Amino acid sequence: MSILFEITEKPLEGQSPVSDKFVLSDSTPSNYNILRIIMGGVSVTNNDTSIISDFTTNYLGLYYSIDNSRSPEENLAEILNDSIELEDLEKFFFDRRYSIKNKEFFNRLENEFCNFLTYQSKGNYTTAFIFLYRILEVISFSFPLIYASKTYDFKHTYGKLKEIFSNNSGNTKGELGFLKSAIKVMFEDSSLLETSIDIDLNDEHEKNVKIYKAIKSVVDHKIYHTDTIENSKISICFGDVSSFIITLRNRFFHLFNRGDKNLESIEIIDPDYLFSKINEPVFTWICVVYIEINKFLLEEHVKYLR
Amino acid sequence: MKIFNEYKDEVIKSQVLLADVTYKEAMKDLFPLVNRLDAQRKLLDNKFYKRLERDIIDGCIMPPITIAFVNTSSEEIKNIESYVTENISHAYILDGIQRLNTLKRAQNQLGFNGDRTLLLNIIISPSKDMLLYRMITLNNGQKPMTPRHQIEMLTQELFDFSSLDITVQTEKERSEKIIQGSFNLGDVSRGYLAFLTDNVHNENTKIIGEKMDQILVGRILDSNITSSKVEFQDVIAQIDRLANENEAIKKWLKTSNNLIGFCVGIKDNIDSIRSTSIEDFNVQIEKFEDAFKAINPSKVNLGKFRRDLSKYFITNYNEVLQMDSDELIERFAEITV
Repeated sequence: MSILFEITEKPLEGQSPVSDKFVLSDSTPSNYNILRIIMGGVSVTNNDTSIISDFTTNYLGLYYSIDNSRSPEENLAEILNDSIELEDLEKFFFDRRYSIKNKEFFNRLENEFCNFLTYQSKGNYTTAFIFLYRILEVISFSFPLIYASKTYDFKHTYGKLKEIFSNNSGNTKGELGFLKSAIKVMFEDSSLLETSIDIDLNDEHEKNVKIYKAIKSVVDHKIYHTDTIENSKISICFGDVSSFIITLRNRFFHLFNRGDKNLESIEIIDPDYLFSKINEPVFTWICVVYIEINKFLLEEHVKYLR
Repeated sequence: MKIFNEYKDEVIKSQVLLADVTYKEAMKDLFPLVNRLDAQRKLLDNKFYKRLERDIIDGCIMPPITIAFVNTSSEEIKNIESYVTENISHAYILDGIQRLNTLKRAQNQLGFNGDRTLLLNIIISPSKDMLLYRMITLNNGQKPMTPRHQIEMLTQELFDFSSLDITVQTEKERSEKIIQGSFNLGDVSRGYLAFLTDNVHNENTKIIGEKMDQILVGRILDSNITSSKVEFQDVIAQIDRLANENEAIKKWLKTSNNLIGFCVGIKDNIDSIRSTSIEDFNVQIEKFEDAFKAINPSKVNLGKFRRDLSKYFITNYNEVLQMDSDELIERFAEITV
């Protein structure tokens, strides 16, 4: 596959420079590239359009503590593991024996991430949301499989897969539902399921009350976290974010007269405004899932080395 | 209803009373008032209130509920008790709607005792403005402390370390003068958090405070701390006993991850730890360290394994006593697969 996006370093202000071994290049694997672009401090060029976008937001900062004066790989190491050294992290990312796996999949995923962030950084939030949804589709089957296939003990793998498949029933059945039941299985012990992603509607009161009502009118109440505050903050339970994305996409991109209630134009006000509120927390959720899977891979990976 | 005392609030020019009612009376007279103020929050249905519902059945005393009357006539009310009783249907609930709702739900449960007491604050105010002023100062002044902050404060303020033989120093004290061999208060606090949440992995993630608090609240609510037979004070007493005379044990317990595992493991096994001798315990931690080395954990899993295994080690102390080194190694290897 030819390379669509070229990613280069563009350090954020005050950030320590990336050490040589971790510098982005043509040959850095997509898994690593993705982690870097979601942390900001990179410049991305679309090779077909020659349009350059700078990514400056660190999406991990909404969930993990980040030291802005340190280099990205140092922060990444701290988030991924409390006792890993950079040398081992380098092996984990760059050792060809491991990074070659599923190369094409990660490359496709990288493209979707780049597209999302390109439109998000330009303020084209509705377009960005489309890529958010595409990311959801591309990861929904593959993330759980990556997780399950890297489990050190295959006895557990069978149990986990069985649980995922048997939970995946009812209305949410299918590839997308697979992710949802997988998340409940993967994060069983980590307690992240207790947390929420928060859509903050604190400014511009009148518009936000409308948005609050519009979202509430189409989304199942069960997925709201108790931190939700009427008219000013929508908190979605960590385990239900994928359902939220799916519902929102279905209710926004359809306007049939029959069936479920859809979002009316009068409720949406302005789509770019609506998605400007939604994209960031939802994308953060995808990033956290991605980080947690990498965390798990790292722990399992070293078991093989022992 | 019983009224105990009467005071005058000079700021909102109101009479303030302390009173109590039974749950039965509260359901009959106060619950219908829940919907009187439109502006008030919608009902919450969450973990906290589910927990409170259980606590009500088990016989807790809830913090007082505040109700208010607006009395526009300029005269002071003479017979307060009959005023309150006669006008109760005109009262407003200033604070405690969620508690009343929870009470309502608890009422339908087996074991509910309608004769138990609900405490009340009553405000009789000359105007609605005054009430609104009180409501705003009541609800917004008290930004809740995060659970972690509360636990840190409790560790420092509630536990008396001065009566112990071991020394415990805060970060600040350490920066002034380090007392050799003293425990770090931060580590003890982490041990306490682990103890309260029944979980050894509260600290291993870099998750920011706000999100961590959502996690901790859930863990504390789930941990059944109120029915635990072991108090943290007992845990500290054992740490003191074991660590004071033996440098090797002290060193082992001073290691943050061991201490965390110890504080959680001991909850289910305090009797065995109480009855073990210092010499025996020392032999066991040597065995622990040998086995830990033998499973050769990579750096990546070092902290995690140490917390998990030290917890296992303390929880199953008597069993570990019977094992030889090889058996313990095998067991550790099984646990960490």
